[in-house]
Amino acid sequence: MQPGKVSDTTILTTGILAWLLLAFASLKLSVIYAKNPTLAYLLAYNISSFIFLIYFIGYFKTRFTFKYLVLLVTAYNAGINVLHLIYNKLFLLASPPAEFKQIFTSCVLNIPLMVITWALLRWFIYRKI
Amino acid sequence: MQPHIIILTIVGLAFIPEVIWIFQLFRSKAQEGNLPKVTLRINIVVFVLGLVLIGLAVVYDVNYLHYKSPIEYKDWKQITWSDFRAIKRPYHTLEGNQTFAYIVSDIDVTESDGQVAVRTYFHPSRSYTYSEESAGQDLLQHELYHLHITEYIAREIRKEYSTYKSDDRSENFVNAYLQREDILQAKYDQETAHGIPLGKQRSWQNRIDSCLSSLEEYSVSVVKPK
Repeated sequence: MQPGKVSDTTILTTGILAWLLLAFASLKLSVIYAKNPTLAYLLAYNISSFIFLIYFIGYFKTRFTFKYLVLLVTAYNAGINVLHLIYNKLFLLASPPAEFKQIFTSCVLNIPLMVITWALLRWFIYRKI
Repeated sequence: MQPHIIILTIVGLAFIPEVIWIFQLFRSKAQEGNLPKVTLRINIVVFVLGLVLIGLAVVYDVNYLHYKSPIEYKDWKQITWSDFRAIKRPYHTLEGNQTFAYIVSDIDVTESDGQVAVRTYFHPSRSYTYSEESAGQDLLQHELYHLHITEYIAREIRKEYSTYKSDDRSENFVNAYLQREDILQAKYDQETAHGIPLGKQRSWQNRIDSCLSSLEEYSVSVVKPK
């Protein structure tokens, strides 16, 4: 790598960390401000993951292979869980009731959603999967 | 205008120049083939925005803007409505009812020098009343009895510790007692309908008072296991 150049790894690492923080913040705020927190959480979880995916597809374009997708899906779902654990440990006395169930449901719905989004985008934009 | 809307507006306005700057930079630099550097800058802005918004969410869990340290149970008589300092969540209701309060108490167990300290705390910056009009003495009584229930469980834990030998002590029983506390707190709210029927409320108060009296000898926080 040439001096002053930014590598793909740096973009991926900083991008994942930054978007995970923003996604986590939007999840916390959606639960606080929404009239229906359960639905708001589910929507915020999946919309955030969609933006997260679009951002990286936009950057990597045709280089965004299935390997990257697996990395992002894992990083997103595991990352949100880890952030919840850290947040609860730092700011809450105990995990909110039914939190695990809520995260688990969101994860289960999110994985196929991200895979389908990736496949559709590649198909429509680049005509290849 | 409500404080949370003002805070959100300020946060939003603070980031508008950043977002415009990113778009302008993105457009100009992308044409020059310097996309990675611009993307890295976007990542940094997103990271900072994420931290700011998490900070905003934290204030709803613990009000650091109007913080007050946890109050130990021995000072419970000094607790007034002014100690319920947390920020209420905008649409938080109790099954549609807005006349309620939310109290947070916990038990802290620390071991040192062969002694165990089991302390009950009330957390002012995590507790709130939904509506100031509803903040009467009856509702305060109801909320304080949640704290008394926590103290009753703390006394049970102290009793258990005092009968344990220091070499075969197990911490598993603490978790069992904490689970019992959750069940008891839920039952108290359910049976008293959050303190609305006064008859039920008084009956629970008598019950909790007698439980506390029966464990009066364990009211001191520090216990020395056998």
